[in-house]
Amino acid sequence: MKHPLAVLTAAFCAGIVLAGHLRFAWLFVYSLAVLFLLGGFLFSRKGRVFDIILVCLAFLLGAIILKTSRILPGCHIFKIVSYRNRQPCIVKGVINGEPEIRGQNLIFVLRAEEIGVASSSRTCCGKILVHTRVGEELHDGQRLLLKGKLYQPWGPGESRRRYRDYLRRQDIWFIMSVKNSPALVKVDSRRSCFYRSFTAAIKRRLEGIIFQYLNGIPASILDAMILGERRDIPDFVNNLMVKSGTVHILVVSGFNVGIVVFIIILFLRLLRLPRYWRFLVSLPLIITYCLITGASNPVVRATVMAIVFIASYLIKRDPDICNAICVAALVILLFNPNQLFDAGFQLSFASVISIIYLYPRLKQAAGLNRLQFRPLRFVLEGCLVSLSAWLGTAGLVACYFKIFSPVTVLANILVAPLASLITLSGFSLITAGLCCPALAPLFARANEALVWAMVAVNTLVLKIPGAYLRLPS
Amino acid sequence: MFAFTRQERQVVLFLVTLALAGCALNFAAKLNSKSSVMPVLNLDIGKVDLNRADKQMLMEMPGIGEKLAERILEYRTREGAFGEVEELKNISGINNYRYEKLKGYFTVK
Repeated sequence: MKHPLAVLTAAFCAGIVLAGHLRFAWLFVYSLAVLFLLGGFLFSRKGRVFDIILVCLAFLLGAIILKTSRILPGCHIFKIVSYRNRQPCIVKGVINGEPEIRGQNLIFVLRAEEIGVASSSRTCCGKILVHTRVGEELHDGQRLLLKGKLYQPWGPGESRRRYRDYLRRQDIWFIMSVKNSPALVKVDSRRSCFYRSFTAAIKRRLEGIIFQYLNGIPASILDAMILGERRDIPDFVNNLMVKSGTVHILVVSGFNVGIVVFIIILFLRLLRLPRYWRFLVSLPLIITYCLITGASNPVVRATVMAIVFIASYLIKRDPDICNAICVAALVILLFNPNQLFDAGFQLSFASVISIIYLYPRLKQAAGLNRLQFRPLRFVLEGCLVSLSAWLGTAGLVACYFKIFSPVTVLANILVAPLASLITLSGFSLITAGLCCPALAPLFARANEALVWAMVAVNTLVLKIPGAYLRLPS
Repeated sequence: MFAFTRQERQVVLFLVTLALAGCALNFAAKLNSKSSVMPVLNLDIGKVDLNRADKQMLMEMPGIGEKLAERILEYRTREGAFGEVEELKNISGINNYRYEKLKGYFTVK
Protein backbone atom coordinates (compact mmCIF):
# COMPACT_ATOMS: atom_id res chain seq x y z
CA MET A 1 0.00 0.00 0.00
CA LYS A 2 1.35 3.40 -1.06
CA HIS A 3 -0.17 5.59 1.65
CA PRO A 4 -0.40 3.81 5.02
CA LEU A 5 -0.67 7.16 6.79
CA ALA A 6 -3.94 7.87 4.94
CA VAL A 7 -5.48 4.63 6.27
CA LEU A 8 -4.28 5.34 9.80
CA THR A 9 -5.54 8.94 9.67
CA ALA A 10 -8.92 7.76 8.39
CA ALA A 11 -9.11 5.22 11.25
CA PHE A 12 -8.14 7.95 13.74
CA CYS A 13 -10.88 10.25 12.41
CA ALA A 14 -13.41 7.38 12.47
CA GLY A 15 -12.56 6.85 16.15
CA ILE A 16 -13.20 10.53 16.85
CA VAL A 17 -16.52 10.47 14.99
CA LEU A 18 -17.73 7.35 16.80
CA ALA A 19 -16.66 8.67 20.21
CA GLY A 20 -18.49 11.90 19.45
CA HIS A 21 -21.78 10.12 18.86
CA LEU A 22 -21.67 7.21 21.29
CA ARG A 23 -21.43 7.08 25.05
CA PHE A 24 -18.97 4.68 26.60
CA ALA A 25 -16.62 4.64 29.55
CA TRP A 26 -13.19 6.09 29.02
CA LEU A 27 -11.63 3.25 31.03
CA PHE A 28 -13.22 0.60 28.81
CA VAL A 29 -11.79 2.11 25.60
CA TYR A 30 -8.41 2.71 27.23
CA SER A 31 -8.19 -0.91 28.44
CA LEU A 32 -9.04 -2.08 24.95
CA ALA A 33 -6.30 0.13 23.51
CA VAL A 34 -3.74 -1.23 26.01
CA LEU A 35 -4.72 -4.80 25.03
CA PHE A 36 -4.24 -3.99 21.37
CA LEU A 37 -0.91 -2.32 22.15
CA LEU A 38 0.28 -5.47 23.90
CA GLY A 39 -0.95 -7.42 20.89
CA GLY A 40 1.08 -5.09 18.68
CA PHE A 41 4.24 -5.89 20.63
CA LEU A 42 3.50 -9.63 20.55
CA PHE A 43 2.70 -9.77 16.82
CA SER A 44 5.23 -7.19 15.64
CA ARG A 45 6.80 -9.77 13.34
CA LYS A 46 3.54 -10.91 11.73
CA GLY A 47 2.93 -8.39 8.95
CA ARG A 48 -0.80 -8.55 8.28
CA VAL A 49 -1.86 -9.10 11.90
CA PHE A 50 0.30 -6.18 13.03
CA ASP A 51 -1.23 -3.91 10.37
CA ILE A 52 -4.77 -4.76 11.51
CA ILE A 53 -3.81 -4.12 15.14
CA LEU A 54 -2.29 -0.78 14.12
CA VAL A 55 -5.49 0.33 12.37
CA CYS A 56 -7.51 -0.66 15.45
CA LEU A 57 -5.06 1.24 17.67
CA ALA A 58 -5.41 4.37 15.52
CA PHE A 59 -9.21 4.07 15.79
CA LEU A 60 -9.12 3.62 19.58
CA LEU A 61 -6.59 6.44 20.00
CA GLY A 62 -8.95 8.81 18.19
CA ALA A 63 -11.79 7.80 20.51
CA ILE A 64 -9.65 8.12 23.64
CA ILE A 65 -8.27 11.54 22.68
CA LEU A 66 -11.74 12.90 22.02
CA LYS A 67 -13.16 11.47 25.24
CA THR A 68 -10.22 12.86 27.23
CA SER A 69 -10.62 16.30 25.67
CA ARG A 70 -14.31 16.37 26.66
CA ILE A 71 -13.67 15.51 30.30
CA LEU A 72 -13.85 18.71 32.30
CA PRO A 73 -11.39 19.04 35.20
CA GLY A 74 -12.82 19.31 38.71
CA CYS A 75 -12.00 23.00 38.89
CA HIS A 76 -13.71 23.86 35.57
CA ILE A 77 -15.96 26.89 35.68
CA PHE A 78 -18.84 24.84 34.24
CA LYS A 79 -18.84 22.72 37.42
CA ILE A 80 -18.84 25.74 39.71
CA VAL A 81 -21.43 27.97 38.07
CA SER A 82 -24.94 26.79 37.26
CA TYR A 83 -26.22 27.76 33.81
CA ARG A 84 -29.26 29.21 35.53
CA ASN A 85 -27.02 31.56 37.46
CA ARG A 86 -28.90 34.73 38.35
CA GLN A 87 -26.35 36.50 40.52
CA PRO A 88 -23.50 38.50 39.11
CA CYS A 89 -20.10 36.81 39.50
CA ILE A 90 -16.67 38.29 39.96
CA VAL A 91 -14.13 36.60 37.72
CA LYS A 92 -10.37 37.03 37.71
CA GLY A 93 -8.56 35.89 34.62
CA VAL A 94 -6.17 36.54 31.79
CA ILE A 95 -7.09 37.75 28.30
CA ASN A 96 -6.43 34.97 25.79
CA GLY A 97 -5.73 36.39 22.32
CA GLU A 98 -6.08 39.95 21.05
CA PRO A 99 -9.45 41.61 21.74
CA GLU A 100 -11.68 42.32 18.74
CA ILE A 101 -13.81 45.36 18.08
CA ARG A 102 -17.25 44.64 16.60
CA GLY A 103 -19.30 47.77 16.25
CA GLN A 104 -19.71 49.31 19.71
CA ASN A 105 -18.49 46.19 21.51
CA LEU A 106 -15.09 44.94 22.50
CA ILE A 107 -14.99 41.15 22.56
CA PHE A 108 -12.29 38.94 24.02
CA VAL A 109 -11.77 35.50 25.51
CA LEU A 110 -10.87 35.38 29.19
CA ARG A 111 -9.02 32.41 30.67
CA ALA A 112 -10.59 32.27 34.13
CA GLU A 113 -8.38 31.78 37.20
CA GLU A 114 -10.68 32.63 40.11
CA ILE A 115 -14.39 33.05 40.46
CA GLY A 116 -16.42 34.66 43.22
CA VAL A 117 -20.06 33.67 43.49
CA ALA A 118 -22.23 34.87 46.39
CA SER A 119 -19.89 35.10 49.36
CA SER A 120 -17.27 32.53 48.34
CA SER A 121 -14.34 32.58 45.98
CA ARG A 122 -12.67 29.59 44.35
CA THR A 123 -9.91 28.81 41.86
CA CYS A 124 -11.19 27.71 38.48
CA CYS A 125 -10.23 27.08 34.86
CA GLY A 126 -12.00 27.36 31.52
CA LYS A 127 -12.72 30.20 29.15
CA ILE A 128 -15.36 32.90 29.07
CA LEU A 129 -16.35 35.04 26.08
CA VAL A 130 -16.58 38.61 27.34
CA HIS A 131 -18.53 41.45 25.72
CA THR A 132 -17.78 44.91 26.93
CA ARG A 133 -17.92 48.46 25.62
CA VAL A 134 -15.16 49.91 23.47
CA GLY A 135 -13.06 52.36 25.44
CA GLU A 136 -10.61 50.32 27.44
CA GLU A 137 -7.08 49.58 26.20
CA LEU A 138 -6.87 45.83 26.51
CA HIS A 139 -4.35 43.38 25.12
CA ASP A 140 -3.42 39.71 25.13
CA GLY A 141 -2.05 38.46 28.46
CA GLN A 142 -3.55 41.22 30.60
CA ARG A 143 -5.00 40.12 33.94
CA LEU A 144 -8.47 41.49 34.74
CA LEU A 145 -11.17 41.44 37.40
CA LEU A 146 -14.65 41.45 35.92
CA LYS A 147 -18.11 41.56 37.37
CA GLY A 148 -21.16 40.43 35.48
CA LYS A 149 -23.66 37.67 34.94
CA LEU A 150 -22.50 34.50 33.29
CA TYR A 151 -24.87 32.86 30.86
CA GLN A 152 -24.80 30.17 28.21
CA PRO A 153 -26.17 30.64 24.70
CA TRP A 154 -29.14 28.33 25.30
CA GLY A 155 -32.37 28.64 23.46
CA PRO A 156 -34.44 27.13 20.68
CA GLY A 157 -33.21 27.01 17.14
CA GLU A 158 -30.47 25.24 15.28
CA SER A 159 -28.35 28.36 14.89
CA ARG A 160 -28.28 28.86 18.68
CA ARG A 161 -27.26 25.22 19.20
CA ARG A 162 -24.58 25.51 16.52
CA TYR A 163 -23.19 28.64 18.13
CA ARG A 164 -23.10 26.92 21.53
CA ASP A 165 -21.29 23.92 20.03
CA TYR A 166 -18.89 26.22 18.17
CA LEU A 167 -17.97 27.96 21.44
CA ARG A 168 -17.62 24.67 23.31
CA ARG A 169 -15.19 23.37 20.70
CA GLN A 170 -12.94 26.24 21.78
CA ASP A 171 -13.53 25.43 25.48
CA ILE A 172 -15.72 28.54 25.89
CA TRP A 173 -18.61 27.60 28.15
CA PHE A 174 -20.01 30.94 29.25
CA ILE A 175 -20.60 34.43 27.93
CA MET A 176 -20.29 37.47 30.16
CA SER A 177 -21.52 40.93 29.42
CA VAL A 178 -19.69 43.69 31.28
CA LYS A 179 -21.82 46.78 30.90
CA ASN A 180 -20.10 49.48 32.85
CA SER A 181 -16.52 50.55 33.26
CA PRO A 182 -16.23 50.02 37.06
CA ALA A 183 -17.06 46.34 36.48
CA LEU A 184 -13.73 45.88 34.65
CA VAL A 185 -10.54 46.37 36.65
CA LYS A 186 -7.04 45.81 35.30
CA VAL A 187 -4.99 43.84 37.80
CA ASP A 188 -1.69 43.97 35.92
CA SER A 189 -0.56 45.06 32.47
CA ARG A 190 1.88 42.26 31.80
CA ARG A 191 1.76 41.05 28.19
CA SER A 192 1.61 37.45 27.11
CA CYS A 193 4.72 35.50 26.10
CA PHE A 194 7.21 37.36 23.93
CA TYR A 195 6.41 35.41 20.75
CA ARG A 196 2.68 36.15 20.93
CA SER A 197 3.18 39.85 21.57
CA PHE A 198 5.82 39.93 18.82
CA THR A 199 3.45 38.40 16.22
CA ALA A 200 0.61 40.66 17.41
CA ALA A 201 2.88 43.71 16.97
CA ILE A 202 3.84 42.61 13.44
CA LYS A 203 0.17 42.11 12.57
CA ARG A 204 -0.71 45.60 13.83
CA ARG A 205 2.15 47.09 11.80
CA LEU A 206 1.08 45.32 8.60
CA GLU A 207 -2.56 46.27 9.17
CA GLY A 208 -1.42 49.83 9.65
CA ILE A 209 0.23 49.77 6.21
CA ILE A 210 -2.90 48.35 4.54
CA PHE A 211 -5.20 50.94 6.12
CA GLN A 212 -2.73 53.75 5.44
CA TYR A 213 -2.90 53.28 1.68
CA LEU A 214 -6.38 51.79 1.26
CA ASN A 215 -9.75 52.38 2.84
CA GLY A 216 -13.26 50.95 2.87
CA ILE A 217 -13.98 47.65 1.16
CA PRO A 218 -10.57 47.19 -0.57
CA ALA A 219 -8.77 47.61 2.78
CA SER A 220 -11.08 45.19 4.61
CA ILE A 221 -10.85 42.54 1.86
CA LEU A 222 -7.07 42.78 1.70
CA ASP A 223 -6.87 42.62 5.51
CA ALA A 224 -8.87 39.38 5.36
CA MET A 225 -6.93 37.81 2.49
CA ILE A 226 -3.43 38.64 3.76
CA LEU A 227 -3.79 38.78 7.57
CA GLY A 228 -6.93 36.76 8.24
CA GLU A 229 -8.93 39.65 9.79
CA ARG A 230 -12.54 39.53 8.54
CA ARG A 231 -14.14 41.82 11.10
CA ASP A 232 -14.33 44.89 8.80
CA ILE A 233 -15.81 43.17 5.74
CA PRO A 234 -19.32 44.56 5.13
CA ASP A 235 -22.14 42.03 5.39
CA PHE A 236 -23.28 42.54 1.80
CA VAL A 237 -19.83 41.58 0.45
CA ASN A 238 -19.75 38.50 2.68
CA ASN A 239 -23.28 37.46 1.59
CA LEU A 240 -22.40 38.07 -2.06
CA MET A 241 -19.44 35.74 -1.89
CA VAL A 242 -21.26 33.07 0.15
CA LYS A 243 -23.98 32.92 -2.51
CA SER A 244 -21.50 32.74 -5.39
CA GLY A 245 -19.39 30.14 -3.56
CA THR A 246 -16.24 32.28 -3.57
CA VAL A 247 -16.15 33.17 0.13
CA HIS A 248 -13.11 30.90 0.56
CA ILE A 249 -11.15 33.69 -1.21
CA LEU A 250 -11.53 35.79 1.95
CA VAL A 251 -9.72 33.18 4.03
CA VAL A 252 -5.94 32.94 4.35
CA SER A 253 -5.12 29.64 2.71
CA GLY A 254 -2.50 27.56 0.99
CA PHE A 255 -2.02 30.06 -1.81
CA ASN A 256 -1.04 32.77 0.67
CA VAL A 257 1.33 30.42 2.48
CA GLY A 258 2.79 29.47 -0.91
CA ILE A 259 3.42 33.11 -1.76
CA VAL A 260 5.02 33.72 1.64
CA VAL A 261 7.31 30.70 1.14
CA PHE A 262 8.21 31.96 -2.34
CA ILE A 263 9.00 35.49 -1.10
CA ILE A 264 11.07 34.21 1.82
CA ILE A 265 13.09 31.79 -0.32
CA LEU A 266 13.60 34.43 -3.03
CA PHE A 267 14.81 36.92 -0.43
CA LEU A 268 17.18 34.37 1.11
CA ARG A 269 18.44 33.51 -2.36
CA LEU A 270 19.33 37.17 -2.87
CA LEU A 271 21.35 36.93 0.34
CA ARG A 272 23.30 34.08 -1.31
CA LEU A 273 22.36 31.54 1.35
CA PRO A 274 22.93 27.87 0.35
CA ARG A 275 19.78 25.96 -0.59
CA TYR A 276 19.76 23.89 2.59
CA TRP A 277 19.90 27.00 4.80
CA ARG A 278 17.25 28.76 2.71
CA PHE A 279 14.78 26.03 3.45
CA LEU A 280 15.81 25.72 7.11
CA VAL A 281 15.49 29.46 7.77
CA SER A 282 12.13 29.63 6.01
CA LEU A 283 10.54 27.16 8.49
CA PRO A 284 10.28 29.50 11.53
CA LEU A 285 9.22 32.38 9.25
CA ILE A 286 6.34 30.33 7.85
CA ILE A 287 5.27 29.40 11.37
CA THR A 288 5.41 33.11 12.31
CA TYR A 289 3.11 33.97 9.37
CA CYS A 290 0.73 31.24 10.52
CA LEU A 291 0.58 32.79 13.99
CA ILE A 292 0.21 36.33 12.61
CA THR A 293 -2.87 35.28 10.65
CA GLY A 294 -4.51 33.73 13.70
CA ALA A 295 -3.62 30.06 13.10
CA SER A 296 -7.06 29.12 11.71
CA ASN A 297 -7.57 25.61 10.34
CA PRO A 298 -6.87 26.38 6.64
CA VAL A 299 -3.67 28.26 7.54
CA VAL A 300 -2.44 25.54 9.90
CA ARG A 301 -3.22 22.92 7.26
CA ALA A 302 -1.29 24.84 4.60
CA THR A 303 1.58 25.61 6.98
CA VAL A 304 1.99 21.98 8.08
CA MET A 305 1.85 20.83 4.45
CA ALA A 306 4.53 23.41 3.54
CA ILE A 307 6.67 22.24 6.48
CA VAL A 308 6.33 18.60 5.38
CA PHE A 309 7.39 19.51 1.83
CA ILE A 310 10.34 21.59 3.04
CA ALA A 311 11.36 18.88 5.52
CA SER A 312 11.31 16.31 2.72
CA TYR A 313 13.78 18.49 0.79
CA LEU A 314 15.99 18.79 3.86
CA ILE A 315 16.12 15.03 4.51
CA LYS A 316 16.38 14.26 0.78
CA ARG A 317 13.09 12.37 0.46
CA ASP A 318 10.44 12.71 -2.23
CA PRO A 319 7.55 14.89 -1.00
CA ASP A 320 4.14 13.23 -1.03
CA ILE A 321 1.04 15.41 -0.96
CA CYS A 322 -1.17 12.67 0.49
CA ASN A 323 1.15 12.16 3.46
CA ALA A 324 1.44 15.94 3.87
CA ILE A 325 -2.30 16.41 4.20
CA CYS A 326 -2.57 13.45 6.61
CA VAL A 327 0.15 14.94 8.83
CA ALA A 328 -1.68 18.29 8.76
CA ALA A 329 -4.94 16.63 9.82
CA LEU A 330 -3.23 14.67 12.61
CA VAL A 331 -1.44 17.75 13.95
CA ILE A 332 -4.70 19.72 14.19
CA LEU A 333 -6.73 16.82 15.64
CA LEU A 334 -4.12 15.81 18.22
CA PHE A 335 -4.31 19.35 19.64
CA ASN A 336 -8.07 19.60 19.47
CA PRO A 337 -10.01 16.55 18.21
CA ASN A 338 -13.27 18.55 18.38
CA GLN A 339 -12.08 20.43 15.28
CA LEU A 340 -13.19 17.42 13.21
CA PHE A 341 -16.80 18.55 13.78
CA ASP A 342 -16.04 22.15 12.74
CA ALA A 343 -17.43 23.26 9.37
CA GLY A 344 -14.25 25.20 8.54
CA PHE A 345 -12.03 22.17 9.13
CA GLN A 346 -14.27 19.91 7.06
CA LEU A 347 -14.52 22.35 4.15
CA SER A 348 -10.80 23.09 4.14
CA PHE A 349 -9.75 19.44 3.99
CA ALA A 350 -12.62 18.34 1.74
CA SER A 351 -11.65 20.88 -0.90
CA VAL A 352 -7.96 19.91 -0.89
CA ILE A 353 -8.65 16.16 -0.82
CA SER A 354 -11.14 16.42 -3.68
CA ILE A 355 -8.65 18.44 -5.75
CA ILE A 356 -5.88 15.89 -5.04
CA TYR A 357 -8.13 12.92 -5.82
CA LEU A 358 -10.58 14.13 -8.46
CA TYR A 359 -8.54 16.59 -10.52
CA PRO A 360 -6.09 14.06 -12.08
CA ARG A 361 -9.02 11.74 -12.93
CA LEU A 362 -11.11 14.50 -14.45
CA LYS A 363 -8.09 15.72 -16.40
CA GLN A 364 -7.50 12.26 -17.79
CA ALA A 365 -11.18 11.76 -18.62
CA ALA A 366 -11.27 15.14 -20.42
CA GLY A 367 -8.13 14.21 -22.39
CA LEU A 368 -6.48 17.57 -21.67
CA ASN A 369 -2.99 16.13 -22.07
CA ARG A 370 -3.67 15.79 -25.79
CA LEU A 371 -4.67 19.45 -26.14
CA GLN A 372 -1.91 21.40 -27.89
CA PHE A 373 -3.27 24.95 -27.56
CA ARG A 374 -1.77 26.00 -24.23
CA PRO A 375 -3.92 29.00 -23.24
CA LEU A 376 -7.11 26.93 -23.73
CA ARG A 377 -5.54 24.02 -21.84
CA PHE A 378 -4.63 26.39 -18.97
CA VAL A 379 -8.21 27.72 -18.76
CA LEU A 380 -9.72 24.23 -18.90
CA GLU A 381 -7.36 22.96 -16.22
CA GLY A 382 -8.49 25.85 -14.03
CA CYS A 383 -12.11 24.84 -14.68
CA LEU A 384 -11.36 21.27 -13.64
CA VAL A 385 -9.64 22.38 -10.40
CA SER A 386 -12.66 24.52 -9.60
CA LEU A 387 -15.03 21.69 -10.48
CA SER A 388 -13.08 19.21 -8.31
CA ALA A 389 -13.20 21.54 -5.31
CA TRP A 390 -16.92 22.23 -5.87
CA LEU A 391 -17.75 18.51 -6.09
CA GLY A 392 -15.95 17.91 -2.81
CA THR A 393 -17.59 20.76 -0.89
CA ALA A 394 -21.07 21.21 -2.41
CA GLY A 395 -22.63 18.72 -0.02
CA LEU A 396 -21.07 20.30 3.05
CA VAL A 397 -22.04 23.82 1.95
CA ALA A 398 -25.62 22.68 1.36
CA CYS A 399 -25.69 21.01 4.78
CA TYR A 400 -24.19 23.86 6.82
CA PHE A 401 -25.25 26.98 4.93
CA LYS A 402 -28.40 25.71 3.16
CA ILE A 403 -27.13 27.11 -0.13
CA PHE A 404 -26.59 25.34 -3.41
CA SER A 405 -24.64 27.39 -5.95
CA PRO A 406 -24.46 25.90 -9.44
CA VAL A 407 -22.69 29.08 -10.50
CA THR A 408 -19.74 28.38 -8.16
CA VAL A 409 -17.58 26.78 -10.85
CA LEU A 410 -18.00 29.74 -13.24
CA ALA A 411 -17.57 32.26 -10.41
CA ASN A 412 -14.38 30.63 -9.22
CA ILE A 413 -12.89 30.51 -12.72
CA LEU A 414 -13.42 34.26 -12.99
CA VAL A 415 -12.65 35.24 -9.39
CA ALA A 416 -9.71 32.94 -8.57
CA PRO A 417 -7.24 34.69 -10.94
CA LEU A 418 -8.40 38.08 -9.60
CA ALA A 419 -7.91 36.84 -6.04
CA SER A 420 -4.40 35.65 -6.90
CA LEU A 421 -3.58 39.09 -8.32
CA ILE A 422 -5.10 40.80 -5.25
CA THR A 423 -2.97 38.64 -2.96
CA LEU A 424 0.18 39.31 -4.98
CA SER A 425 -0.48 43.05 -5.14
CA GLY A 426 -1.33 43.02 -1.45
CA PHE A 427 2.00 41.46 -0.51
CA SER A 428 3.72 43.91 -2.88
CA LEU A 429 1.90 46.80 -1.17
CA ILE A 430 3.05 45.62 2.25
CA THR A 431 6.64 45.09 1.06
CA ALA A 432 6.65 48.53 -0.57
CA GLY A 433 5.10 50.07 2.53
CA LEU A 434 7.93 48.63 4.63
CA CYS A 435 10.88 49.17 2.27
CA CYS A 436 9.97 51.82 -0.31
CA PRO A 437 6.86 53.86 0.63
CA ALA A 438 7.07 55.89 -2.57
CA LEU A 439 5.92 52.84 -4.57
CA ALA A 440 3.15 51.84 -2.18
CA PRO A 441 0.41 54.09 -3.70
CA LEU A 442 0.92 52.41 -7.10
CA PHE A 443 0.26 48.96 -5.65
CA ALA A 444 -2.61 50.39 -3.62
CA ARG A 445 -4.38 51.75 -6.73
CA ALA A 446 -3.86 48.45 -8.57
CA ASN A 447 -5.20 46.58 -5.58
CA GLU A 448 -8.30 48.80 -5.36
CA ALA A 449 -9.11 48.23 -9.03
CA LEU A 450 -8.73 44.46 -8.65
CA VAL A 451 -10.94 44.33 -5.55
CA TRP A 452 -13.72 46.30 -7.20
CA ALA A 453 -13.41 44.07 -10.28
CA MET A 454 -13.82 41.02 -8.05
CA VAL A 455 -16.91 42.46 -6.35
CA ALA A 456 -18.35 43.41 -9.76
CA VAL A 457 -17.76 39.90 -11.14
CA ASN A 458 -19.50 38.34 -8.14
CA THR A 459 -22.47 40.70 -8.51
CA LEU A 460 -22.71 39.95 -12.24
CA VAL A 461 -22.48 36.21 -11.79
CA LEU A 462 -25.32 36.19 -9.26
CA LYS A 463 -27.62 37.81 -11.80
CA ILE A 464 -27.59 34.62 -13.87
CA PRO A 465 -30.95 32.84 -13.37
CA GLY A 466 -30.59 29.92 -10.98
CA ALA A 467 -27.17 31.09 -9.80
CA TYR A 468 -27.86 29.97 -6.27
CA LEU A 469 -30.67 28.29 -4.42
CA ARG A 470 -31.64 28.57 -0.79
CA LEU A 471 -32.43 25.15 0.56
CA PRO A 472 -35.15 24.61 3.16
CA SER A 473 -33.73 24.29 6.67
CA MET B 1 -0.61 -4.38 3.74
CA PHE B 2 1.55 -1.44 4.95
CA ALA B 3 4.94 -3.10 4.38
CA PHE B 4 6.56 -1.49 7.42
CA THR B 5 10.09 -2.52 8.23
CA ARG B 6 10.89 -3.85 11.72
CA GLN B 7 12.41 -0.54 12.73
CA GLU B 8 9.35 1.40 11.51
CA ARG B 9 7.06 -0.87 13.52
CA GLN B 10 9.10 -0.25 16.65
CA VAL B 11 8.91 3.50 16.12
CA VAL B 12 5.14 3.36 15.55
CA LEU B 13 4.61 1.27 18.69
CA PHE B 14 6.77 3.68 20.67
CA LEU B 15 4.74 6.66 19.46
CA VAL B 16 1.43 4.95 20.24
CA THR B 17 2.72 4.02 23.73
CA LEU B 18 3.68 7.65 24.32
CA ALA B 19 0.26 8.83 23.14
CA LEU B 20 -1.58 6.41 25.40
CA ALA B 21 0.62 7.32 28.38
CA GLY B 22 -0.08 10.99 27.71
CA CYS B 23 -3.83 10.37 27.57
CA ALA B 24 -3.69 8.47 30.88
CA LEU B 25 -1.75 11.27 32.56
CA ASN B 26 -4.15 13.87 31.18
CA PHE B 27 -7.15 11.86 32.38
CA ALA B 28 -5.63 11.42 35.87
CA ALA B 29 -4.77 15.13 36.08
CA LYS B 30 -8.32 16.14 35.17
CA LEU B 31 -9.87 13.70 37.66
CA ASN B 32 -7.64 14.86 40.49
CA SER B 33 -7.92 18.58 39.86
CA LYS B 34 -10.01 20.34 42.46
CA SER B 35 -11.15 23.85 42.96
CA SER B 36 -9.67 25.34 46.12
CA VAL B 37 -11.21 28.06 48.25
CA MET B 38 -9.52 31.45 47.95
CA PRO B 39 -9.74 34.70 49.90
CA VAL B 40 -12.84 36.52 48.77
CA LEU B 41 -12.31 38.65 45.64
CA ASN B 42 -12.81 42.40 45.81
CA LEU B 43 -16.56 42.74 46.38
CA ASP B 44 -16.52 46.43 45.51
CA ILE B 45 -15.71 45.74 41.87
CA GLY B 46 -18.48 46.93 39.60
CA LYS B 47 -19.55 49.49 42.19
CA VAL B 48 -19.22 53.15 41.43
CA ASP B 49 -17.40 55.29 43.98
CA LEU B 50 -19.85 58.10 44.73
CA ASN B 51 -17.00 60.47 45.55
CA ARG B 52 -15.21 59.96 42.20
CA ALA B 53 -17.86 59.15 39.64
CA ASP B 54 -18.61 61.59 36.85
CA LYS B 55 -22.03 62.08 35.23
CA GLN B 56 -21.36 59.48 32.54
CA MET B 57 -20.41 56.80 35.06
CA LEU B 58 -23.49 57.52 37.19
CA MET B 59 -25.76 57.30 34.16
CA GLU B 60 -24.32 53.83 33.32
CA MET B 61 -25.97 52.49 36.49
CA PRO B 62 -29.47 51.06 36.09
CA GLY B 63 -32.15 53.46 37.33
CA ILE B 64 -29.98 56.59 37.13
CA GLY B 65 -31.03 59.07 34.47
CA GLU B 66 -29.49 62.42 33.54
CA LYS B 67 -31.43 64.48 36.09
CA LEU B 68 -30.76 62.15 39.00
CA ALA B 69 -27.07 62.01 38.09
CA GLU B 70 -26.94 65.81 38.12
CA ARG B 71 -28.63 65.91 41.53
CA ILE B 72 -26.10 63.42 42.93
CA LEU B 73 -23.21 65.54 41.64
CA GLU B 74 -24.83 68.72 43.05
CA TYR B 75 -25.18 67.02 46.46
CA ARG B 76 -21.53 65.98 46.40
CA THR B 77 -20.41 69.49 45.47
CA ARG B 78 -22.59 71.00 48.20
CA GLU B 79 -21.64 68.58 51.00
CA GLY B 80 -18.01 68.10 49.93
CA ALA B 81 -18.14 64.30 49.78
CA PHE B 82 -20.35 61.33 50.56
CA GLY B 83 -19.65 59.80 53.97
CA GLU B 84 -21.64 56.65 53.25
CA VAL B 85 -23.87 55.21 50.56
CA GLU B 86 -26.95 55.75 52.75
CA GLU B 87 -26.65 59.51 52.17
CA LEU B 88 -28.26 58.87 48.76
CA LYS B 89 -31.56 58.96 50.63
CA ASN B 90 -30.96 62.70 51.19
CA ILE B 91 -31.18 63.33 47.44
CA SER B 92 -34.50 64.34 45.97
CA GLY B 93 -35.97 61.49 43.94
CA ILE B 94 -34.41 58.68 45.95
CA ASN B 95 -36.81 57.28 48.50
CA ASN B 96 -36.31 54.14 50.63
CA TYR B 97 -37.59 51.83 47.90
CA ARG B 98 -35.33 53.32 45.25
CA TYR B 99 -32.37 53.34 47.63
CA GLU B 100 -32.77 49.60 48.25
CA LYS B 101 -32.61 49.07 44.49
CA LEU B 102 -29.57 51.31 43.99
CA LYS B 103 -27.37 50.66 47.02
CA GLY B 104 -25.74 47.55 45.53
CA TYR B 105 -24.23 49.60 42.69
CA PHE B 106 -22.42 52.18 44.79
CA THR B 107 -19.61 52.38 47.28
CA VAL B 108 -17.88 55.21 49.15
CA LYS B 109 -14.12 55.39 49.44
